[in-house]
Amino acid sequence: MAAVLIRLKLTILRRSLGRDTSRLISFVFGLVAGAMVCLGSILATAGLRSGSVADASGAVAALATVTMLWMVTPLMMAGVDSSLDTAAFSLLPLGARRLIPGLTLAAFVGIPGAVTAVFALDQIAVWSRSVPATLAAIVAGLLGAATCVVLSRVVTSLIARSMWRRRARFLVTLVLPVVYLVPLMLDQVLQRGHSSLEASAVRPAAGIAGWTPFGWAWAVPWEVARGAYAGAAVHLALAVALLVVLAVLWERVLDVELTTTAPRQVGTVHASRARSGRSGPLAAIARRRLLGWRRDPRLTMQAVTLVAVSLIPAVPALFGPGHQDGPSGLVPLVLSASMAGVLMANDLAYDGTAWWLQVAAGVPGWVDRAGRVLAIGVSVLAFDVLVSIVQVAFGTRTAWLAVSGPLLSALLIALGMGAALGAMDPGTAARRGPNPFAGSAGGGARGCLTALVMFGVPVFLVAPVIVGAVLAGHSTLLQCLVLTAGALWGAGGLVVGIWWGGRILDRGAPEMLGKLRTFG
Amino acid sequence: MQHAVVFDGLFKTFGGRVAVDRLSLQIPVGSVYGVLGPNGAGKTTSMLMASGLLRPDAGRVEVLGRDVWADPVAAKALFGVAPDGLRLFDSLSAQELLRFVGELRSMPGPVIAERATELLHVLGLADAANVVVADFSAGMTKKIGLACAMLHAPRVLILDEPFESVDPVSAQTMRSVLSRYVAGGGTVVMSSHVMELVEAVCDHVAVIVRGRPLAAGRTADVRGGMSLHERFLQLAGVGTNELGSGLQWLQS
Ligand SMILES: Nc1ncnc2c1ncn2[C@@H]1O[C@H](COP(=O)(O)OP(=O)(O)O)[C@@H](O)[C@H]1O
Ligand SMILES: [Mg+2]
Repeated sequence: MAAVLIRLKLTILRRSLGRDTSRLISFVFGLVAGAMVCLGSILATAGLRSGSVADASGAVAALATVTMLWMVTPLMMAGVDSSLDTAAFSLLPLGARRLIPGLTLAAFVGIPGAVTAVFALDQIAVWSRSVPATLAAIVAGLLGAATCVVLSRVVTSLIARSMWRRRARFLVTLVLPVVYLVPLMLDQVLQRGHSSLEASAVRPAAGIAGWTPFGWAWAVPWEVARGAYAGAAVHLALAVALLVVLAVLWERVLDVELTTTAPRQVGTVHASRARSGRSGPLAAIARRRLLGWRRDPRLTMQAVTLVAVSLIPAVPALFGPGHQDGPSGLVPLVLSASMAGVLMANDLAYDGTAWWLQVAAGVPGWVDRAGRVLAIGVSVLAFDVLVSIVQVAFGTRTAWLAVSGPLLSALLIALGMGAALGAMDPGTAARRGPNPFAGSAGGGARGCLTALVMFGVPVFLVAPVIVGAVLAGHSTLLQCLVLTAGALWGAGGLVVGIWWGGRILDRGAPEMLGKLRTFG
Repeated sequence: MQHAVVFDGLFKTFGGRVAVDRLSLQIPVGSVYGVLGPNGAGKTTSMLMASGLLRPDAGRVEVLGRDVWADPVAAKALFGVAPDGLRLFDSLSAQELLRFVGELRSMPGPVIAERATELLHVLGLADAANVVVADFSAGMTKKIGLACAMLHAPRVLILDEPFESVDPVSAQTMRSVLSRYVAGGGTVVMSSHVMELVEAVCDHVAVIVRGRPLAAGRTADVRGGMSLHERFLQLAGVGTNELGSGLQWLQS
């Protein structure tokens, strides 16, 4: 069974790479990045191996972090998860117990799995100081690596199941990003206090990490190496217990997944009242897209992530002195502009094949582009204004006029680029249906490329406005001038993007629909 | 006689495999025209090409004299389409979806509201007006799809498998809605692989197999004295003894 599943996974990988160049490119990028991480890990191993036991304990903290990442990553990046979709096995007479070993092994076929395996081997080298420590490290490596995979599978399956229920699904999408962002925020806050402490402060990290569930297995060889056999025994017992509990949970969840399909839940909504006045295709498209923030859990997730991700870097500025007017206060605004562009570039993927309704109605391409830009732009602008008000209220931002020009033009240009890019390719979205983590519409690869372009290119296009803002100095008159010029420059970019994207859609609406159809 | 829809030499291949092979059909105004064929015959592909959603490799489609591919805006105003296998904007409720579709076609708000209410009522979806379309059953989804196609009062309806997964009661409702539509001067082109239904509903049929029309015309003429079922199997070249002595291992 294990061999069959591994072969299946290899076949799927080969097929998906052969069919799609952008996927191949990003796979190569991933390979290079993975190889570099492995190389770093091997170099670090060489250093740690000859160092003291206390120094080597850094490996425990590092591996505990890796284990946590296994849990967090599939939640953060819907669609990146490349595990075998168990729903596909639901028609076969196979129990969960027969699938689990194979699924676990198959998870190591792929870049993250391979890198984790290298880490597990490296830590064996780190602890190969005595026979008992080496043996402990081998056991820890097996336990730890298995825990990584099983943990990630259990968590995604559990989340996916709770996603079936509309209300729960909505709550989970709201809460999840916050949960995984809290540690990052804490880290940001703590860092400010920590910077004065000596490097030795890092050492207790191994102790702390070793006592979190993520580090139980990895701490066993460390305890053995420093002669704390009682501690090692406790860690080993905890690690085994954790793996057993997780495996039992996984078996339960998998058995349910293999035998049931998502239950149907009737959700009544209150139709938005028909307002008089604005109607017509552009307003309709914008209104439907705005409603999507609330109705489509995938978009809710995007919105919450946008807010959270752009706010984190700004958190220290709110807490510490000495950050007033610092550049970090601008980060939320810059990031939200770029992410608005990314959202725009991926927007058709969220519509999926339902987009045919617009094609059948003969809606012009530019109307489609403009309607979406309106909805996303207004949302992001509202967020930016809110952030700015808070910052001004906290007194962390006084020079707002000077930066408004570059920021506004950045938002408009990013939206324009997204409008053009999104018309060439539908982009990526988590698949719909009971399990939003089951896969992605366009493939994670293309999403990464889009993000790269969207975060890079606007910087060049906004450069003239930034130069203007710098030259304007403290003169209010000149700053107003730069703001006006920036707004016009950005609006120009936006119009070009909408016009260009619209033309692409007008010429190739059926072809776009074809791309959306192959994604399902 | 004027034709409502003309398929003229429609041709489409997918990766070298021919899906629709020079399909030519003339659909008279005021008819209910059934396109019959086994699975994979090319019905969906033809319907999509006729409604401007899939570009043909060659050939033309005209709706009431307007070329769907050369003059899409004018043609698309004349017909409504309910494709098979494409989603709807299903995070909207039934009522919101109809309003959205109406606004896409620049219809005035009050007209949309009035027609939407009536369509939902007639199709038995009034109770589900505020239910999200994602929560609809397959049959209900077919019905709301039909409502979306009819909302702008088109003169031609292109329906792909309209009765698929629709329960008998709802099917009866849909049939009476369609016959009232035709009585009012409309034309219906629908695909199906359910013989009995086509025989009962359609006054014209075309039988296509592997993308090619094998027979087309008035239902009675195509039938030629047989039941449509028998005639269809004859045209498709399937005998009841086709299996011969295969599948021996299935005998218990
Ligand atoms: N997007 C597509 N890509 C590749 N082949 C397709 C595609 N759509 C349809 N086909 C093929 O074209 C043929 C006709 O399909 P279709 O029009 O869906 O048949 P029907 O609706 O009559 O069952 C089938 O062989 C099908 O496999
Ligand atoms: Mg079909």
